[in-house]
Amino acid sequence: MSITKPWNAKYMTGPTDQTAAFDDVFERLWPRIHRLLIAIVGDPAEAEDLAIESFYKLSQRPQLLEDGQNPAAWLYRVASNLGYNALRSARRRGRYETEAHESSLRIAIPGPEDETSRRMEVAQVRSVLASMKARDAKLLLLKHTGLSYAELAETLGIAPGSVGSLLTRAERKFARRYRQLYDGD
Amino acid sequence: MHPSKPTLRAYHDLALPELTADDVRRHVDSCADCRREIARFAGDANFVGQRLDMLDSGSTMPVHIARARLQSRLAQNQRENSMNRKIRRAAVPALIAAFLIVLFAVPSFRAAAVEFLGLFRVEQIEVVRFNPANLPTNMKGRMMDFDRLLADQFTFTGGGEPVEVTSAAEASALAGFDVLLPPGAENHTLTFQPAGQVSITVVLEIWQALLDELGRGDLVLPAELDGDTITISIPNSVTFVNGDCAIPRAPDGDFMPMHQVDCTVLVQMPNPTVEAPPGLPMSELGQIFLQFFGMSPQEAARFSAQVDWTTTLVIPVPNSADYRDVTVNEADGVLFEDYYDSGTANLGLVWVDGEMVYSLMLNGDHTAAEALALAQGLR
Repeated sequence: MSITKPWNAKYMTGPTDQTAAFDDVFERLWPRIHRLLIAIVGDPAEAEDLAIESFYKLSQRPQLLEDGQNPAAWLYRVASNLGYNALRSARRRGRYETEAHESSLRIAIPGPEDETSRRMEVAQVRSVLASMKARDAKLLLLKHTGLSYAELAETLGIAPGSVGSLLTRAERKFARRYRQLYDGD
Repeated sequence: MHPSKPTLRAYHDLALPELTADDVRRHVDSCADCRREIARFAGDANFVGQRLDMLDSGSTMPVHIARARLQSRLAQNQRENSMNRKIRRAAVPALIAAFLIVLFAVPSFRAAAVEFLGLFRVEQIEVVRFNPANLPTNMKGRMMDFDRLLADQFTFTGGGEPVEVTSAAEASALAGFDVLLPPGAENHTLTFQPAGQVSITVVLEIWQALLDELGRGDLVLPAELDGDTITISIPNSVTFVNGDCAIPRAPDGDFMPMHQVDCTVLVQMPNPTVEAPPGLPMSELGQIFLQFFGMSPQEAARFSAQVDWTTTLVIPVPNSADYRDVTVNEADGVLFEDYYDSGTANLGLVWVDGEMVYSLMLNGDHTAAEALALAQGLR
């Protein structure tokens, strides 16, 4: 359902066919972009702000909505940049490390252990992602979102033939680092 | 022949065209080595997949609510747009110019700055004090590396070679404005620099890496800068140089201290303009800029909240230097004075007269009164 259709053209920078194209992209990609950002930053409100910001940026670049362009790859790139940046920034503030540590302390106390343990693991996963090279972390997250090899290549600006090797390498680094830090298996 | 590792990986991820996948499947069925290879990366892939699954959340904001939020974001931008345009015109060059002015004002950085950013020589005015000792160490040496690192992000158009001219009349004809000179000046050089544009496309990762490299990884640049292109249009300018302004180099190739130089430089040009995408987070950038010059985050936030970034150029001035507001023939300006132990001075006078920006620098055995008299006597 849409409460304001057609797209409110007075706020868009391009002609009418571009506003229709934008509307289409928004309907199609909002859930995926928002979900990607929730996965990256965890906090739904922060993810929502970042997702809105990603689409806002797209709205300011009407040329991306012209034929032959790929606004989806651009959106994924912007959203994963914004998300990863927020993740890194949270890591600088020590947020995930603290959460992982606090949860590991709390787990010793009798209580809702499943939830505590899950929260700890989630914080650990984000902490490892934040410690990785940007491209590796984004590759893992975008692959997990369901992007194809071709989409991954375009979004991250890498050769399609390199996607598999880069993925294998990024996964190995993630697994090694995770096990090193948290002795996961 | 075995399929390559990337092919096996793509086969595992169901990323091969159907016919190729059939060929690979037939091979793998009869190849123990290939199955082992697949099992090796599949182990890591599953391990990572299980952990990333934990990040998934079933619920996203419904599209129609998200749409309403985006519209409100766009409407807000519409309201702020006219004001922002002013911000962009004034504050972006201001930030860049401020950075450059300090590079020129701190002797140890100045020599590097001349090579690094010879293009910018501008602007307008508000002052914040800083302690040069709080700046990152070895900035001068690293600046050369940064120059190379950032080269891809800068595109220069126009500009062209500077042209040496013989008179104010000739300079005025080329530049399109009335060129002012100190009366009776002799033995000077006068150079016309054609207008040019610099476009900077921000690759956030590199900029952030530079801050990290400078030991200021605590300053996090706003993510929305990434990919933004900022274009600075620098109009025709005329530079008057008198004295020995060559930057001497020691035999080891390093720069000599600037206080050995006796040099007067006057640059004049119409106000440069800047085009940047809407929503450039000026206040946040301003705070980072202030913190870079040694303010605490709290001080920077307080200062940034008070400053109208739409109209204010914030010039960081080393706390060894004095400054004061002055008027040059009724135009507002700021005069900087920094005296070396040898007694010679580094004086800077920047003023804005209508559409024109003037910057006068005196190095050597001069006084503030001389600088002011020189500026006021321009004809």
